[in-house]
Amino acid sequence: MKAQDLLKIQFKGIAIKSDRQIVGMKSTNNHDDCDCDCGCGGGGNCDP
Amino acid sequence: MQNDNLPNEFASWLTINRACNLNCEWCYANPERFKGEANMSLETVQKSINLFKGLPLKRVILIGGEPTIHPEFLTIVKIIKTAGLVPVVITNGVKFRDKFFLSESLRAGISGITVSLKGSSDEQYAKLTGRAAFSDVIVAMKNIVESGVDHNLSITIGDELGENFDDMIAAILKSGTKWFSIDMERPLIICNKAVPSKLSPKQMADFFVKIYPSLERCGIDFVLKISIPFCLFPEGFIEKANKQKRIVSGCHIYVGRGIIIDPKGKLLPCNHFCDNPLGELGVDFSDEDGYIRFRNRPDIKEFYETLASYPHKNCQFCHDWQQCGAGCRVSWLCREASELISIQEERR
Repeated sequence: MKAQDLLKIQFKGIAIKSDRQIVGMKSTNNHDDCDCDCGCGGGGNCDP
Repeated sequence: MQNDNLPNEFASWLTINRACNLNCEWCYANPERFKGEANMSLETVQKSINLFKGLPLKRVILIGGEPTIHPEFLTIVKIIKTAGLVPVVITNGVKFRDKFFLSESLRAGISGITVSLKGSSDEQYAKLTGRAAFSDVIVAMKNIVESGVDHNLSITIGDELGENFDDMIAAILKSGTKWFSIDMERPLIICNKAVPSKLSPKQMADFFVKIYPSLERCGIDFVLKISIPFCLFPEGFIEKANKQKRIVSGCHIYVGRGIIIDPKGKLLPCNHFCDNPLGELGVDFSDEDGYIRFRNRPDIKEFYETLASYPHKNCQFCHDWQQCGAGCRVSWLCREASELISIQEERR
């Protein structure tokens, strides 16, 4: 099954459109040069 | 790259295999589920890199399975490096016990290594991963630290590691790492059905609160990766940990920043959707322009819009929304809002 179909069928949230983009919180001092913004903690060494 | 629907920067992962030299029950890529699946071919690696080169991204994160046991691991690292990108790897560490393999990897171009620590003793490793590899991983970690390469030690908390966490802290200290991260076990998607993690989100929050003082005392820099809604934590915890620079939250999936290519060349939204691709390299897109067209397809736009939406009415006015994002979206496929959002402690 495609991911988009799985989401349609199983998503239990109510999906109200948001105009506030989720940016995450990165309060760590480590890897200040991190640019991937993926929630990995820095350095891009992350498990998605 | 100018397109209002797309992020300014991407993060990329190449899932180069599903095979592993460990067998962790909780792993989204548990090898039992992918028996006989081929390694990523060099042709698929090259096609992926050709796509990545046209997009605003720098790092290519190698992941598996266990990427270091791919027979062409060093060649893949060289291909990425030669393309002007930065190869980093997420590994269970076992192979880096071998100093020669580590030095060859660094020579090929590996610029960062994250080791996932699965337990605090050989006995616990044998029980949880099927192999008494703890001692090997500790030696590997010491080799990595000694080499000077950028590194991280990552611990994912599931129900098995919840007990005797002091032993885990002792293992972290033994590894010689300069810093570590504590992550939360996430749900799996098996046979098109999301399966929740064994610990509930609330149990996970309580556990993080419980271990925090021990983490503070251990003397090594650390971060908590929070993939559950902030409102599940007691008032003041997130604020305190944030002030101490201990929090990482968010996910590439909210803005569609991640490009994850699996061994068959399928594009995954994240590795937890390992059998559920969004599209396929070489079929739905091959280059930058094709990828932009793909991302503007109505079904793909709708997918990412849903992921970025408020999943619960309380989130609409919550001041933590942009940092919290209501946690991992895969949890929202298998848990009710009542398990994920604290109605009593909503933050407005």
